[in-house]
Amino acid sequence: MNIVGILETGSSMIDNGKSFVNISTAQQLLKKGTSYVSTIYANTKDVENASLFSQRLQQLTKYKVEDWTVTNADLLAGDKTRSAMMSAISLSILLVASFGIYNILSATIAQKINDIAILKATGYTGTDVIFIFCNRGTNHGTDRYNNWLAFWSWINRNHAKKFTWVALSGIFPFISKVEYFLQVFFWAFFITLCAGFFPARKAANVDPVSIFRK
Amino acid sequence: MHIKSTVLEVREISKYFTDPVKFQVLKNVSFQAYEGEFLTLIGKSGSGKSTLLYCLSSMDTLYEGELYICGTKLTGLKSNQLARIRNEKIGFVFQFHYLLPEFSCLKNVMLPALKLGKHSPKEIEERAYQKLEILDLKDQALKPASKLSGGQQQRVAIARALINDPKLIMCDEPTGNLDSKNTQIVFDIFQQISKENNQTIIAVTHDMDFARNSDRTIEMADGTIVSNGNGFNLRSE
Repeated sequence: MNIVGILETGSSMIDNGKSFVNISTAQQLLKKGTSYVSTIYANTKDVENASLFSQRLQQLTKYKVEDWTVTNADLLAGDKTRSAMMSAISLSILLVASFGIYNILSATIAQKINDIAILKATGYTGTDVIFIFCNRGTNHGTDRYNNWLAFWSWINRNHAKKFTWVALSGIFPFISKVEYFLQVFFWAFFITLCAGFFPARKAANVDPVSIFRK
Repeated sequence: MHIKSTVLEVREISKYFTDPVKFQVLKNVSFQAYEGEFLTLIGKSGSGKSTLLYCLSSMDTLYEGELYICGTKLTGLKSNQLARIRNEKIGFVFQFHYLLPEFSCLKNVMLPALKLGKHSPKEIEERAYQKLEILDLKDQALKPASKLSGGQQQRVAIARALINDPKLIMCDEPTGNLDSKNTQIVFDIFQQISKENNQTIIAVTHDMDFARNSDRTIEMADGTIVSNGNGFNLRSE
């Protein structure tokens, strides 16, 4: 027998314990006939459809059909925990970033309190003041969203298809789903709206007389 | 002599300060201001003249009594309604100019009109140029407000007060920060706008010359009016 190639997956448990031979060699090693097959692996075009196919195949055969989500249930459970942790981390980063913007706007309002007072004296209402600062806040949000988008497109174009030792596929898992972009935009917008609204509400209640009489 | 219509009417206004102890600042103050009148409020510091002005301005709403501007009762209105009335009917000039330093003079003048929204931004810009021209500032229009001298800044503030053609212009020590030359300029402008545009000016001042040359002077002491020019200088139609 000749070794024709070495496959490395990055996991030494698999690399040190597995080898691949063609099916007739395997049948000979097991001293079985050419009709002997223990397991058939089938790929579906879309991984998410695997369980649907397994149900359909089960109706055609008396042998046991199992899709990858059942076989790797423990891995998937781990995946769930990981994504929950990722969400928690992302949320705390989001919170820290929004507090940054909140602080910037609070400082701006403290600094611009005279300007706010004169706006209110000349007929601008509290709602107008809130609008101005929420507008500033969401400007920060959309700016950061655009920065993220630019970074994402750069990394997607230049690095997404590069081979790295990541998991089983070997490339970074880049998924371009519209809903992800919408989600990112929503959070960027919403959190900066809040970061603008709370200091703005304080500014809106400023009594101009107390400023002018100082 | 023809008496002109009343622009502002104050009926029995009283005001209290509660901090640190309850203290009556204004005691049943009543007076009227007429169209085209240049009125000054004088009095020692602590006499309540500024407090009265801020009650008249509709920014201070914690008073007893009634306040009418152009026939509309302001007492008891909600803050948004008051803001609207201030925007349309009252112009303000303070001791400090309170211009937005990042904005050009032109933008500063345009701001109240943009809020009012009676004209298109294009027209507002044109009107702002006109107002700046009256105040001899047309060539400074596009400079940032922070780059102007004190006298010029105060004139820009006056242009801002005039942009919506308000019936009333209220001033708190408008010349308090100016030298005598600029004080004279500001006085002449006020004289001119009250005469030519028939706008009423109410100014709180310490400057006796300024007060003496106005149409009428109300003197206050301890929260009451001690002398009211009573319209002796009122011009006839």
